[in-house]
Amino acid sequence: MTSEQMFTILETMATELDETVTVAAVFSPGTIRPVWFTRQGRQVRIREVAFTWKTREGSTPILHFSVSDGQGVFELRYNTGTYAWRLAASA
Amino acid sequence: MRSILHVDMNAFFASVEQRANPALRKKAMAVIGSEHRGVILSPSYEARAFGVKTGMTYGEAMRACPKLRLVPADPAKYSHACEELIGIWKDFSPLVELFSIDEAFLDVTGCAELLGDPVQIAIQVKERIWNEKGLTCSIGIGPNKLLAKLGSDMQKPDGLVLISPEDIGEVLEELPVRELCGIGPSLGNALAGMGITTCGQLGRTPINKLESRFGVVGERLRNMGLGIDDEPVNSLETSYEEDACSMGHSMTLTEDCDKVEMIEQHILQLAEKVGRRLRRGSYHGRTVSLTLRYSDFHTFSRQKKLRHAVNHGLDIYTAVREMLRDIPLALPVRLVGVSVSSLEKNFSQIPLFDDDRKRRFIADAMDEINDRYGDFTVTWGTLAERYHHERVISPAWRPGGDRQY
Repeated sequence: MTSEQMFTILETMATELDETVTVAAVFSPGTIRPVWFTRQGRQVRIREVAFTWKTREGSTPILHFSVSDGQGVFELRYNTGTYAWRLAASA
Repeated sequence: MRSILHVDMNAFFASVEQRANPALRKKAMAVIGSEHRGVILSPSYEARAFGVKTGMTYGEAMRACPKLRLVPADPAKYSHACEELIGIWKDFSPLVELFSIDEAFLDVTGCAELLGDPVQIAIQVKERIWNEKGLTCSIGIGPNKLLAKLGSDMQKPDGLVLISPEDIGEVLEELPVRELCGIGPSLGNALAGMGITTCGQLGRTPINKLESRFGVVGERLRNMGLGIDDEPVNSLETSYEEDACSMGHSMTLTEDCDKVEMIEQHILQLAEKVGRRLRRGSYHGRTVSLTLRYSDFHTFSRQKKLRHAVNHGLDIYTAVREMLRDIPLALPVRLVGVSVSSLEKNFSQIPLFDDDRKRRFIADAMDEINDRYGDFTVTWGTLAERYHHERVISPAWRPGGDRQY
């Protein structure tokens, strides 16, 4: 297998993005549950929050949400320092 | 009599990725080391059915399963999932020992009155993990860590095996010695050379015969053959307190490289990472090591004892660079590693000279900025353009430890 073929295989898995998005989320003690986000003027309703995890940018915790609208999978990131949401990847 | 559980998460990295991406569920997929190079780290059970195994190259894996979907490893996901699993395990026992990122021992001796017998506890652990994380695990239950680990290996995925004291003889009699945790290929071969291939044979071998061949390990080996293991479950809190023996980082290069200047850049990057870890843990080290792996996978190390203990990236880099320049490269290099050993904790030498003082202040200031804004926010100009975070999770990783994959 050539490296070009490999690249194609990997590319089909996820596209890295870094888009500012508007997100509606429910904040309750200990949890944040995104409900929908807008992308390219369209509202994407979240059907499943498949997985959540946390990283850090320096001392700032970043919360990651792998979400699905039933058709595609998206990664939303919430910066707890700036309160900003980003769309980080889609697959 | 102790009751030990060994929890082994099934195809952990692959299962986490399948949870995170519904499109991957029930599909033949595998987590790989990097987007460009490396090997299969964790195949899903669907992929294993096609013969895909950990350690295969991409080519081998794709030949075994042409529809295999490959996903680059995301250590942040796995370490976070592990931290959440530890939270669950700690609800069942205060004595939880993290054996690796996807395995743990739980000492549930004395928990019966509160939580039920060990099998009931194991069922509860499995249910919690499934309900809260959507992941499956295999659990082995035994009177010690050796047998608990053996039990979890006996039924995968989603297994539950109890090895009770009265079953030990029967379980071990015909079991190949290599099935025991701690007996790898070379020890297994050495035992086979003595005519010992099963645990039953190992347990019947006189200690003096084993000691004359393996030294002090002989008694331990015989005990393993008999299913005896007195090792305690070392709680996470205890293991944090243990001092490190060495600290190091390595990276597989995106392409094989025979240019010394390029390899030196990688060494500088690695030396900076090692230096930062040493300073974070208040360590200095006197021995620096360089590891190189050629394109044919031949791997070797060189080490050097320094006159003074160091924890500054530049000192580590300078020493390692000297070693590199003494090595006539026989082949292009595939992997570079830098480590520091002979560590001393809280070693303190007040810098006497102005230059040394300034260098320490600069390192402290850089650490402070990088702690706040992220690693390599401030770094050497030569690294500014080329810094790339290798997404590899280390066996030394522990939640809250100094190692940040």
